[in-house]
Amino acid sequence: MTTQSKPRKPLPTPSRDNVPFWEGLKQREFRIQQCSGCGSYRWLPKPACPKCMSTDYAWVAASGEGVVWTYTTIYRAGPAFQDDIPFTVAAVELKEKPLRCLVMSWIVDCDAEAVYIGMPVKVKFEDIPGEDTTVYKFAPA
Amino acid sequence: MPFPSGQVAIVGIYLTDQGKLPDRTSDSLCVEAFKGALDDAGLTPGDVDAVSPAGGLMQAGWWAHQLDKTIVMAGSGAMGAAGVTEAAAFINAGLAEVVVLICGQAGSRLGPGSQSAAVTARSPRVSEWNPAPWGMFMSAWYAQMAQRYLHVFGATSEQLAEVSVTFRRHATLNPRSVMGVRGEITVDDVMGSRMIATPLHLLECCLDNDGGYAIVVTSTERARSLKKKPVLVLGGATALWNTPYEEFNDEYWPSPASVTGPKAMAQAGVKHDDFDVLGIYDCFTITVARLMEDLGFCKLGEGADYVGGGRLGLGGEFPTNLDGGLLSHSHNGNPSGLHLIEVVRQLRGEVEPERQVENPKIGFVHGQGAAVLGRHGSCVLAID
Ligand SMILES: [Zn+2]
Repeated sequence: MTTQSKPRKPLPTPSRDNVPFWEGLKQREFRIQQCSGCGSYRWLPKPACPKCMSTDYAWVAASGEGVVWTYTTIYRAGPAFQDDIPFTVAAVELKEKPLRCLVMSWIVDCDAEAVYIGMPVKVKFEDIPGEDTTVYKFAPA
Repeated sequence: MPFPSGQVAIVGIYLTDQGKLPDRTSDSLCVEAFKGALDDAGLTPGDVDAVSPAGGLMQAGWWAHQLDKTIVMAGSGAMGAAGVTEAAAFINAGLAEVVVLICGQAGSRLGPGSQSAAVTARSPRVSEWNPAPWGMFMSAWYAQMAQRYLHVFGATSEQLAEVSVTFRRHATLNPRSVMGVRGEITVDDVMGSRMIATPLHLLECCLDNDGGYAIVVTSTERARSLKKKPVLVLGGATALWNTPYEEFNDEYWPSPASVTGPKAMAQAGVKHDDFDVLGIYDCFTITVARLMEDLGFCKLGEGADYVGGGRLGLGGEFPTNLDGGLLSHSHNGNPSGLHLIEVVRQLRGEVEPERQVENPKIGFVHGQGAAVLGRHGSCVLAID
Protein backbone atom coordinates (compact mmCIF):
# COMPACT_ATOMS: atom_id res chain seq x y z
CA MET A 1 0.00 0.00 0.00
CA THR A 2 1.37 3.38 -0.97
CA THR A 3 1.17 6.35 1.31
CA GLN A 4 -0.33 9.49 -0.15
CA SER A 5 2.32 12.13 0.39
CA LYS A 6 1.09 15.05 -1.66
CA PRO A 7 -2.08 17.14 -1.55
CA ARG A 8 -4.70 15.81 -3.97
CA LYS A 9 -6.34 18.04 -6.53
CA PRO A 10 -9.91 19.00 -5.70
CA LEU A 11 -12.73 17.27 -7.55
CA PRO A 12 -16.22 18.51 -8.42
CA THR A 13 -19.28 17.42 -6.46
CA PRO A 14 -21.82 16.17 -9.03
CA SER A 15 -25.30 17.55 -8.36
CA ARG A 16 -28.54 15.57 -8.43
CA ASP A 17 -29.63 17.40 -11.59
CA ASN A 18 -26.54 16.44 -13.55
CA VAL A 19 -26.00 12.76 -12.77
CA PRO A 20 -26.43 11.87 -16.48
CA PHE A 21 -23.54 14.16 -17.38
CA TRP A 22 -21.13 12.66 -14.84
CA GLU A 23 -22.27 9.11 -15.65
CA GLY A 24 -21.74 9.95 -19.33
CA LEU A 25 -18.07 10.71 -18.70
CA LYS A 26 -17.63 7.20 -17.29
CA GLN A 27 -19.14 5.88 -20.52
CA ARG A 28 -16.82 8.11 -22.59
CA GLU A 29 -19.50 10.55 -23.65
CA PHE A 30 -19.45 14.32 -23.15
CA ARG A 31 -23.14 15.06 -22.75
CA ILE A 32 -24.78 18.43 -23.14
CA GLN A 33 -28.42 19.38 -22.79
CA GLN A 34 -30.71 20.04 -25.74
CA CYS A 35 -33.78 22.17 -25.02
CA SER A 36 -37.05 20.50 -26.01
CA GLY A 37 -38.66 23.93 -26.31
CA CYS A 38 -36.36 25.65 -28.81
CA GLY A 39 -33.78 23.03 -29.75
CA SER A 40 -30.80 24.97 -28.35
CA TYR A 41 -27.81 23.14 -26.98
CA ARG A 42 -26.58 24.37 -23.64
CA TRP A 43 -23.58 24.19 -21.35
CA LEU A 44 -23.15 24.41 -18.38
CA PRO A 45 -25.97 22.01 -17.58
CA LYS A 46 -28.78 23.94 -15.89
CA PRO A 47 -32.43 23.16 -15.09
CA ALA A 48 -33.72 25.72 -17.61
CA CYS A 49 -32.88 26.93 -21.12
CA PRO A 50 -31.07 30.32 -21.16
CA LYS A 51 -32.93 31.21 -24.36
CA CYS A 52 -36.58 30.23 -23.70
CA MET A 53 -36.55 29.15 -20.00
CA SER A 54 -38.11 25.79 -20.87
CA THR A 55 -37.32 23.14 -18.27
CA ASP A 56 -37.80 20.27 -20.73
CA TYR A 57 -34.61 18.93 -22.20
CA ALA A 58 -32.74 15.83 -23.30
CA TRP A 59 -29.15 14.78 -22.66
CA VAL A 60 -27.28 14.30 -25.92
CA ALA A 61 -23.73 13.17 -26.58
CA ALA A 62 -21.71 16.07 -28.01
CA SER A 63 -19.03 15.44 -30.61
CA GLY A 64 -16.39 16.37 -28.05
CA GLU A 65 -14.67 18.34 -30.80
CA GLY A 66 -13.96 22.02 -30.58
CA VAL A 67 -11.39 24.79 -30.80
CA VAL A 68 -9.46 26.71 -28.17
CA TRP A 69 -11.25 30.04 -27.72
CA THR A 70 -8.78 31.34 -25.15
CA TYR A 71 -6.27 29.85 -22.72
CA THR A 72 -3.63 30.64 -20.15
CA THR A 73 -0.44 28.80 -19.35
CA ILE A 74 -0.07 28.84 -15.59
CA TYR A 75 3.33 29.19 -13.88
CA ARG A 76 2.15 29.78 -10.34
CA ALA A 77 -0.36 27.46 -8.72
CA GLY A 78 -1.56 25.96 -5.46
CA PRO A 79 0.14 23.12 -3.57
CA ALA A 80 -1.78 20.35 -5.37
CA PHE A 81 -0.53 21.54 -8.76
CA GLN A 82 3.17 22.04 -8.11
CA ASP A 83 4.23 18.99 -10.15
CA ASP A 84 2.14 20.14 -13.11
CA ILE A 85 3.65 23.61 -13.67
CA PRO A 86 3.48 24.84 -16.34
CA PHE A 87 0.02 23.69 -17.36
CA THR A 88 -2.49 25.20 -19.74
CA VAL A 89 -6.16 25.81 -18.98
CA ALA A 90 -8.26 26.60 -22.01
CA ALA A 91 -11.80 27.67 -22.70
CA VAL A 92 -12.97 25.48 -25.55
CA GLU A 93 -15.78 26.24 -27.95
CA LEU A 94 -17.49 22.97 -28.84
CA LYS A 95 -18.60 22.25 -32.40
CA GLU A 96 -22.23 22.34 -31.23
CA LYS A 97 -21.70 25.88 -29.84
CA PRO A 98 -23.84 25.33 -26.73
CA LEU A 99 -25.22 28.42 -24.96
CA ARG A 100 -23.75 30.28 -22.85
CA CYS A 101 -20.50 28.95 -21.53
CA LEU A 102 -17.34 27.66 -23.08
CA VAL A 103 -15.97 24.41 -21.69
CA MET A 104 -13.01 24.94 -19.44
CA SER A 105 -10.34 22.35 -18.88
CA TRP A 106 -6.72 21.42 -19.35
CA ILE A 107 -5.09 20.90 -22.73
CA VAL A 108 -2.97 17.77 -22.34
CA ASP A 109 -0.85 15.50 -24.56
CA CYS A 110 1.09 18.47 -25.91
CA ASP A 111 3.65 21.02 -24.73
CA ALA A 112 1.81 23.44 -22.42
CA GLU A 113 3.32 26.35 -24.33
CA ALA A 114 2.26 25.00 -27.74
CA VAL A 115 -1.43 25.78 -27.23
CA TYR A 116 -2.87 28.58 -29.38
CA ILE A 117 -6.23 30.25 -29.99
CA GLY A 118 -8.03 28.38 -32.74
CA MET A 119 -6.26 25.08 -32.00
CA PRO A 120 -8.53 22.11 -32.81
CA VAL A 121 -9.02 19.88 -29.78
CA LYS A 122 -10.97 16.79 -28.77
CA VAL A 123 -12.26 15.81 -25.35
CA LYS A 124 -10.63 12.97 -23.43
CA PHE A 125 -11.63 11.27 -20.24
CA GLU A 126 -9.70 10.54 -17.06
CA ASP A 127 -10.87 8.23 -14.30
CA ILE A 128 -9.49 9.47 -10.98
CA PRO A 129 -7.89 6.59 -9.06
CA GLY A 130 -9.66 5.80 -5.81
CA GLU A 131 -12.55 8.12 -6.61
CA ASP A 132 -15.93 7.49 -8.19
CA THR A 133 -15.41 10.43 -10.54
CA THR A 134 -14.30 10.81 -14.14
CA VAL A 135 -13.13 14.21 -15.36
CA TYR A 136 -12.80 15.68 -18.85
CA LYS A 137 -9.76 17.21 -20.47
CA PHE A 138 -8.88 18.16 -24.04
CA ALA A 139 -6.05 17.08 -26.30
CA PRO A 140 -4.98 18.25 -29.77
CA ALA A 141 -7.40 16.80 -32.33
CA MET B 1 -37.78 57.71 -10.77
CA PRO B 2 -34.47 59.49 -11.43
CA PHE B 3 -31.32 58.93 -9.40
CA PRO B 4 -31.22 61.45 -6.52
CA SER B 5 -28.43 63.39 -8.19
CA GLY B 6 -26.63 65.65 -5.75
CA GLN B 7 -28.99 64.81 -2.88
CA VAL B 8 -26.60 62.34 -1.26
CA ALA B 9 -23.02 62.96 -0.23
CA ILE B 10 -19.88 61.23 1.01
CA VAL B 11 -19.02 62.85 4.29
CA GLY B 12 -16.47 60.61 5.95
CA ILE B 13 -13.61 58.38 4.84
CA TYR B 14 -10.84 56.50 6.60
CA LEU B 15 -7.96 54.25 5.63
CA THR B 16 -6.15 52.06 8.13
CA ASP B 17 -2.55 51.08 7.48
CA GLN B 18 -2.30 48.89 4.37
CA GLY B 19 0.23 46.10 3.91
CA LYS B 20 1.34 43.09 5.88
CA LEU B 21 -0.25 43.62 9.28
CA PRO B 22 0.54 40.48 11.29
CA ASP B 23 -0.61 42.03 14.56
CA ARG B 24 -4.04 42.96 13.28
CA THR B 25 -7.33 41.10 12.82
CA SER B 26 -10.09 41.83 10.31
CA ASP B 27 -12.39 42.86 13.17
CA SER B 28 -9.91 45.31 14.67
CA LEU B 29 -9.34 46.90 11.24
CA CYS B 30 -13.10 47.23 10.72
CA VAL B 31 -13.59 48.91 14.09
CA GLU B 32 -10.71 51.31 13.52
CA ALA B 33 -12.01 52.21 10.04
CA PHE B 34 -15.61 52.61 11.23
CA LYS B 35 -14.68 54.95 14.07
CA GLY B 36 -12.15 56.81 11.95
CA ALA B 37 -14.59 57.50 9.11
CA LEU B 38 -17.30 58.68 11.52
CA ASP B 39 -14.79 60.97 13.21
CA ASP B 40 -13.78 62.34 9.80
CA ALA B 41 -17.45 63.18 9.24
CA GLY B 42 -18.08 64.58 12.70
CA LEU B 43 -20.59 61.82 13.47
CA THR B 44 -20.80 59.24 16.26
CA PRO B 45 -21.70 55.53 16.19
CA GLY B 46 -25.15 56.45 17.54
CA ASP B 47 -25.87 58.33 14.30
CA VAL B 48 -25.51 55.22 12.13
CA ASP B 49 -28.66 53.71 10.62
CA ALA B 50 -27.17 51.19 8.23
CA VAL B 51 -23.92 49.42 7.57
CA SER B 52 -22.65 47.66 4.47
CA PRO B 53 -19.85 45.43 5.69
CA ALA B 54 -17.62 43.51 3.30
CA GLY B 55 -18.26 40.49 5.52
CA GLY B 56 -21.94 40.38 4.56
CA LEU B 57 -24.92 39.53 6.74
CA MET B 58 -23.06 37.84 9.59
CA GLN B 59 -20.83 40.84 10.02
CA ALA B 60 -23.84 43.19 9.79
CA GLY B 61 -25.38 41.28 12.68
CA TRP B 62 -22.26 41.79 14.72
CA TRP B 63 -22.42 45.51 14.02
CA ALA B 64 -26.04 45.65 15.16
CA HIS B 65 -24.96 44.01 18.42
CA GLN B 66 -21.97 46.31 18.75
CA LEU B 67 -24.08 49.44 18.21
CA ASP B 68 -26.85 48.07 20.45
CA LYS B 69 -29.48 49.06 17.92
CA THR B 70 -31.37 47.74 14.98
CA ILE B 71 -29.65 48.59 11.77
CA VAL B 72 -30.80 48.46 8.18
CA MET B 73 -28.52 46.34 6.06
CA ALA B 74 -27.49 48.25 2.95
CA GLY B 75 -26.29 45.00 1.60
CA SER B 76 -23.71 45.61 -0.99
CA GLY B 77 -20.72 44.62 1.11
CA ALA B 78 -18.48 47.67 0.93
CA MET B 79 -18.33 47.40 -2.84
CA GLY B 80 -17.09 50.94 -3.43
CA ALA B 81 -19.16 52.77 -6.04
CA ALA B 82 -21.77 49.99 -6.02
CA GLY B 83 -22.10 50.34 -2.24
CA VAL B 84 -22.39 54.12 -2.43
CA THR B 85 -25.06 53.75 -5.13
CA GLU B 86 -27.09 51.43 -2.90
CA ALA B 87 -26.57 53.74 0.07
CA ALA B 88 -27.91 56.63 -2.01
CA ALA B 89 -31.02 54.59 -2.84
CA PHE B 90 -31.56 53.71 0.84
CA ILE B 91 -31.13 57.30 1.93
CA ASN B 92 -33.35 58.70 -0.81
CA ALA B 93 -36.07 56.18 0.06
CA GLY B 94 -35.98 57.28 3.68
CA LEU B 95 -34.87 53.87 4.93
CA ALA B 96 -31.68 55.23 6.46
CA GLU B 97 -29.98 58.58 6.90
CA VAL B 98 -26.41 57.61 7.72
CA VAL B 99 -24.87 54.57 5.99
CA VAL B 100 -21.35 53.27 6.59
CA LEU B 101 -19.48 50.97 4.20
CA ILE B 102 -16.89 48.93 6.08
CA CYS B 103 -14.07 46.69 4.91
CA GLY B 104 -11.25 45.12 6.88
CA GLN B 105 -9.03 42.18 6.08
CA ALA B 106 -6.10 40.64 7.88
CA GLY B 107 -4.47 37.24 7.74
CA SER B 108 -6.13 35.84 4.65
CA ARG B 109 -4.92 35.74 1.07
CA LEU B 110 -6.60 35.34 -2.29
CA GLY B 111 -3.82 33.88 -4.44
CA PRO B 112 -3.02 30.23 -5.14
CA GLY B 113 -0.64 30.20 -2.17
CA SER B 114 -3.73 30.22 0.02
CA GLN B 115 -5.00 26.91 -1.41
CA SER B 116 -4.94 23.88 0.87
CA ALA B 117 -1.69 21.94 1.23
CA ALA B 118 -3.38 19.25 3.35
CA VAL B 119 -2.49 15.69 2.43
CA THR B 120 -5.71 13.68 2.47
CA ALA B 121 -6.59 10.09 1.60
CA ARG B 122 -9.48 11.19 -0.60
CA SER B 123 -9.68 14.15 -2.96
CA PRO B 124 -11.20 17.29 -1.46
CA ARG B 125 -14.51 18.19 -3.12
CA VAL B 126 -15.63 21.58 -4.38
CA SER B 127 -18.96 22.66 -5.86
CA GLU B 128 -19.91 21.20 -9.22
CA TRP B 129 -18.51 23.82 -11.65
CA ASN B 130 -15.92 25.44 -9.40
CA PRO B 131 -12.74 25.85 -11.48
CA ALA B 132 -10.41 24.85 -8.63
CA PRO B 133 -9.93 21.29 -10.03
CA TRP B 134 -8.17 22.91 -13.00
CA GLY B 135 -5.77 24.85 -10.80
CA MET B 136 -7.49 28.12 -11.60
CA PHE B 137 -7.37 31.27 -9.48
CA MET B 138 -8.27 34.91 -10.06
CA SER B 139 -5.13 35.90 -11.99
CA ALA B 140 -5.63 32.98 -14.38
CA TRP B 141 -9.21 34.08 -15.11
CA TYR B 142 -8.08 37.55 -16.06
CA ALA B 143 -5.17 36.04 -17.97
CA GLN B 144 -7.60 34.13 -20.19
CA MET B 145 -9.43 37.37 -20.85
CA ALA B 146 -6.15 39.17 -21.61
CA GLN B 147 -5.03 36.38 -23.95
CA ARG B 148 -8.22 36.63 -25.97
CA TYR B 149 -7.98 40.43 -26.00
CA LEU B 150 -4.41 40.49 -27.32
CA HIS B 151 -5.37 37.94 -29.96
CA VAL B 152 -8.50 39.68 -31.20
CA PHE B 153 -7.25 43.26 -31.17
CA GLY B 154 -3.55 42.77 -31.89
CA ALA B 155 -2.56 44.59 -28.70
CA THR B 156 0.70 43.87 -26.86
CA SER B 157 1.74 43.13 -23.30
CA GLU B 158 4.13 46.09 -23.50
CA GLN B 159 1.12 48.37 -23.99
CA LEU B 160 -0.65 46.92 -20.97
CA ALA B 161 2.53 47.24 -18.89
CA GLU B 162 2.24 51.03 -19.08
CA VAL B 163 -0.64 50.78 -16.59
CA SER B 164 1.67 49.25 -13.97
CA VAL B 165 4.38 51.84 -14.69
CA THR B 166 1.99 54.79 -14.31
CA PHE B 167 0.35 53.61 -11.10
CA ARG B 168 3.70 52.71 -9.53
CA ARG B 169 4.87 56.26 -10.17
CA HIS B 170 1.79 57.50 -8.31
CA ALA B 171 2.53 55.10 -5.47
CA THR B 172 6.00 56.60 -5.04
CA LEU B 173 4.22 59.90 -4.31
CA ASN B 174 1.98 58.25 -1.71
CA PRO B 175 3.91 57.57 1.49
CA ARG B 176 1.18 55.19 2.71
CA SER B 177 1.24 52.95 -0.37
CA VAL B 178 2.60 49.42 -0.06
CA MET B 179 4.88 49.54 -3.12
CA GLY B 180 5.91 53.20 -3.23
CA VAL B 181 9.09 52.52 -1.26
CA ARG B 182 10.26 50.16 -4.01
CA GLY B 183 10.55 53.07 -6.42
CA GLU B 184 9.47 53.56 -10.01
CA ILE B 185 9.43 50.75 -12.57
CA THR B 186 9.76 50.59 -16.36
CA VAL B 187 7.94 48.62 -19.05
CA ASP B 188 11.05 46.39 -19.19
CA ASP B 189 10.75 45.73 -15.45
CA VAL B 190 7.15 44.62 -15.92
CA MET B 191 7.98 42.43 -18.91
CA GLY B 192 10.96 40.98 -17.04
CA SER B 193 8.99 40.09 -13.91
CA ARG B 194 8.09 36.42 -13.66
CA MET B 195 5.18 35.02 -15.58
CA ILE B 196 2.15 34.18 -13.41
CA ALA B 197 -0.35 33.06 -16.05
CA THR B 198 0.24 33.98 -19.69
CA PRO B 199 0.13 36.75 -20.74
CA LEU B 200 0.11 38.34 -17.24
CA HIS B 201 3.42 38.98 -15.48
CA LEU B 202 3.79 39.44 -11.73
CA LEU B 203 3.92 43.23 -11.99
CA GLU B 204 0.64 43.23 -13.95
CA CYS B 205 -1.17 41.64 -11.00
CA CYS B 206 -2.51 43.54 -8.01
CA LEU B 207 -1.21 43.24 -4.48
CA ASP B 208 -2.77 40.91 -1.92
CA ASN B 209 -2.40 42.50 1.50
CA ASP B 210 -4.11 43.43 4.77
CA GLY B 211 -5.93 46.65 5.46
CA GLY B 212 -9.24 48.32 6.18
CA TYR B 213 -11.31 51.29 5.14
CA ALA B 214 -14.70 52.86 5.73
CA ILE B 215 -16.90 55.34 3.87
CA VAL B 216 -19.79 57.34 5.38
CA VAL B 217 -22.71 58.40 3.17
CA THR B 218 -25.64 60.61 4.17
CA SER B 219 -28.14 63.08 2.74
CA THR B 220 -26.67 66.29 1.35
CA GLU B 221 -28.98 68.19 3.67
CA ARG B 222 -27.44 66.50 6.72
CA ALA B 223 -24.00 66.76 5.16
CA ARG B 224 -24.09 70.57 5.10
CA SER B 225 -23.87 70.71 8.89
CA LEU B 226 -21.01 68.18 9.22
CA LYS B 227 -17.27 68.61 9.66
CA LYS B 228 -15.90 68.28 6.11
CA LYS B 229 -17.01 69.77 2.84
CA PRO B 230 -19.41 67.17 1.36
CA VAL B 231 -18.51 65.30 -1.81
CA LEU B 232 -21.76 65.07 -3.74
CA VAL B 233 -22.85 61.89 -5.50
CA LEU B 234 -24.10 63.19 -8.85
CA GLY B 235 -24.66 59.76 -10.40
CA GLY B 236 -24.47 56.15 -9.37
CA ALA B 237 -25.18 52.82 -11.06
CA THR B 238 -24.52 49.16 -10.45
CA ALA B 239 -24.87 46.01 -12.55
CA LEU B 240 -24.01 42.34 -12.19
CA TRP B 241 -23.64 39.94 -15.07
CA ASN B 242 -21.86 36.85 -13.92
CA THR B 243 -21.08 36.57 -10.26
CA PRO B 244 -19.99 33.02 -9.62
CA TYR B 245 -16.78 31.80 -11.12
CA GLU B 246 -18.53 28.55 -11.81
CA GLU B 247 -19.75 29.98 -15.07
CA PHE B 248 -17.85 31.33 -17.94
CA ASN B 249 -19.40 33.75 -20.36
CA ASP B 250 -18.79 33.05 -23.99
CA GLU B 251 -17.81 36.69 -24.50
CA TYR B 252 -15.69 38.88 -22.26
CA TRP B 253 -16.89 42.09 -23.78
CA PRO B 254 -18.66 44.26 -23.18
CA SER B 255 -18.72 44.07 -19.36
CA PRO B 256 -21.29 45.52 -16.93
CA ALA B 257 -19.16 48.69 -16.93
CA SER B 258 -20.69 49.46 -20.32
CA VAL B 259 -24.00 49.83 -18.48
CA THR B 260 -22.94 51.46 -15.22
CA GLY B 261 -20.55 54.05 -16.69
CA PRO B 262 -22.88 55.68 -19.22
CA LYS B 263 -25.80 55.47 -16.78
CA ALA B 264 -23.94 57.25 -13.97
CA MET B 265 -22.67 59.93 -16.37
CA ALA B 266 -26.17 60.52 -17.76
CA GLN B 267 -27.61 60.84 -14.26
CA ALA B 268 -24.98 63.41 -13.44
CA GLY B 269 -25.38 65.22 -16.76
CA VAL B 270 -21.64 65.08 -17.44
CA LYS B 271 -19.35 63.83 -20.19
CA HIS B 272 -15.92 62.23 -20.06
CA ASP B 273 -14.13 65.52 -20.68
CA ASP B 274 -15.66 66.93 -17.49
CA PHE B 275 -13.65 64.61 -15.25
CA ASP B 276 -10.65 66.06 -13.43
CA VAL B 277 -9.67 62.84 -11.64
CA LEU B 278 -10.48 59.13 -12.04
CA GLY B 279 -10.49 56.02 -9.87
CA ILE B 280 -10.55 52.93 -12.10
CA TYR B 281 -10.51 49.37 -10.79
CA ASP B 282 -7.10 47.92 -11.60
CA CYS B 283 -6.83 44.37 -10.31
CA PHE B 284 -4.78 43.59 -13.45
CA THR B 285 -3.41 45.71 -16.28
CA ILE B 286 -5.96 44.28 -18.71
CA THR B 287 -8.77 45.39 -16.40
CA VAL B 288 -7.93 49.06 -16.88
CA ALA B 289 -7.61 48.78 -20.67
CA ARG B 290 -10.99 47.05 -20.89
CA LEU B 291 -12.73 49.40 -18.46
CA MET B 292 -11.61 52.52 -20.35
CA GLU B 293 -13.33 51.01 -23.41
CA ASP B 294 -16.54 49.93 -21.71
CA LEU B 295 -16.82 53.20 -19.80
CA GLY B 296 -16.70 55.02 -23.12
CA PHE B 297 -13.34 56.79 -22.81
CA CYS B 298 -12.26 54.99 -25.99
CA LYS B 299 -13.62 52.36 -28.36
CA LEU B 300 -13.48 48.57 -28.02
CA GLY B 301 -10.01 47.42 -28.98
CA GLU B 302 -8.39 50.81 -28.39
CA GLY B 303 -7.88 50.44 -24.64
CA ALA B 304 -4.37 48.99 -24.67
CA ASP B 305 -3.14 51.97 -26.69
CA TYR B 306 -5.27 54.43 -24.75
CA VAL B 307 -3.78 53.64 -21.33
CA GLY B 308 -0.26 54.52 -22.49
CA GLY B 309 1.49 57.78 -23.29
CA GLY B 310 1.01 59.23 -19.83
CA ARG B 311 -2.71 59.79 -20.36
CA LEU B 312 -3.63 58.27 -16.97
CA GLY B 313 -0.67 59.77 -15.12
CA LEU B 314 -0.51 62.79 -12.86
CA GLY B 315 -0.45 65.75 -15.24
CA GLY B 316 -2.04 63.69 -18.02
CA GLU B 317 -5.44 64.01 -19.64
CA PHE B 318 -7.15 61.81 -17.02
CA PRO B 319 -5.10 61.45 -13.82
CA THR B 320 -6.10 58.01 -12.51
CA ASN B 321 -5.48 56.06 -9.31
CA LEU B 322 -3.22 58.68 -7.80
CA ASP B 323 -2.80 56.58 -4.66
CA GLY B 324 -1.08 53.87 -6.74
CA GLY B 325 -4.18 51.73 -7.25
CA LEU B 326 -4.57 48.05 -6.51
CA LEU B 327 -1.36 47.42 -8.44
CA SER B 328 0.88 49.52 -6.18
CA HIS B 329 -1.11 51.07 -3.30
CA SER B 330 -3.15 48.25 -1.76
CA HIS B 331 -5.50 45.36 -2.47
CA ASN B 332 -7.08 44.38 0.81
CA GLY B 333 -9.56 41.64 0.07
CA ASN B 334 -12.50 43.78 -1.03
CA PRO B 335 -10.73 46.89 -2.24
CA SER B 336 -13.23 48.60 -4.55
CA GLY B 337 -13.73 51.37 -1.99
CA LEU B 338 -10.08 52.38 -2.15
CA HIS B 339 -10.43 54.09 -5.53
CA LEU B 340 -13.42 56.00 -4.23
CA ILE B 341 -11.55 57.16 -1.13
CA GLU B 342 -8.68 58.50 -3.22
CA VAL B 343 -11.04 60.45 -5.49
CA VAL B 344 -12.83 61.89 -2.44
CA ARG B 345 -9.49 62.95 -0.96
CA GLN B 346 -8.44 64.50 -4.29
CA LEU B 347 -11.71 66.46 -4.52
CA ARG B 348 -11.25 67.66 -0.95
CA GLY B 349 -7.69 68.69 -1.82
CA GLU B 350 -6.24 66.83 1.13
CA VAL B 351 -3.61 64.47 -0.31
CA GLU B 352 0.13 65.15 -0.28
CA PRO B 353 0.85 68.12 -2.57
CA GLU B 354 3.11 65.98 -4.80
CA ARG B 355 0.17 63.95 -6.09
CA GLN B 356 -2.65 66.45 -5.70
CA VAL B 357 -4.52 67.27 -8.91
CA GLU B 358 -4.91 71.05 -9.12
CA ASN B 359 -8.33 72.15 -7.93
CA PRO B 360 -10.40 69.18 -9.17
CA LYS B 361 -14.19 69.60 -9.26
CA ILE B 362 -15.59 66.41 -10.77
CA GLY B 363 -14.35 62.84 -10.38
CA PHE B 364 -15.40 59.44 -11.67
CA VAL B 365 -15.00 56.13 -9.87
CA HIS B 366 -15.49 52.61 -11.16
CA GLY B 367 -15.22 49.54 -8.98
CA GLN B 368 -15.92 45.86 -9.46
CA GLY B 369 -15.69 42.57 -7.69
CA ALA B 370 -16.51 38.89 -7.48
CA ALA B 371 -15.68 37.96 -11.06
CA VAL B 372 -14.25 39.11 -14.38
CA LEU B 373 -17.76 40.14 -15.33
CA GLY B 374 -19.02 40.35 -11.76
CA ARG B 375 -20.44 43.17 -9.71
CA HIS B 376 -19.68 46.58 -11.19
CA GLY B 377 -20.43 50.04 -9.86
CA SER B 378 -19.82 53.56 -11.16
CA CYS B 379 -20.17 56.93 -9.42
CA VAL B 380 -19.78 60.52 -10.52
CA LEU B 381 -18.59 62.63 -7.58
CA ALA B 382 -18.28 66.40 -7.27
CA ILE B 383 -17.36 69.11 -4.81
CA ASP B 384 -18.89 72.59 -4.75
ZN1 LIG C 1 -35.00 26.69 -25.18
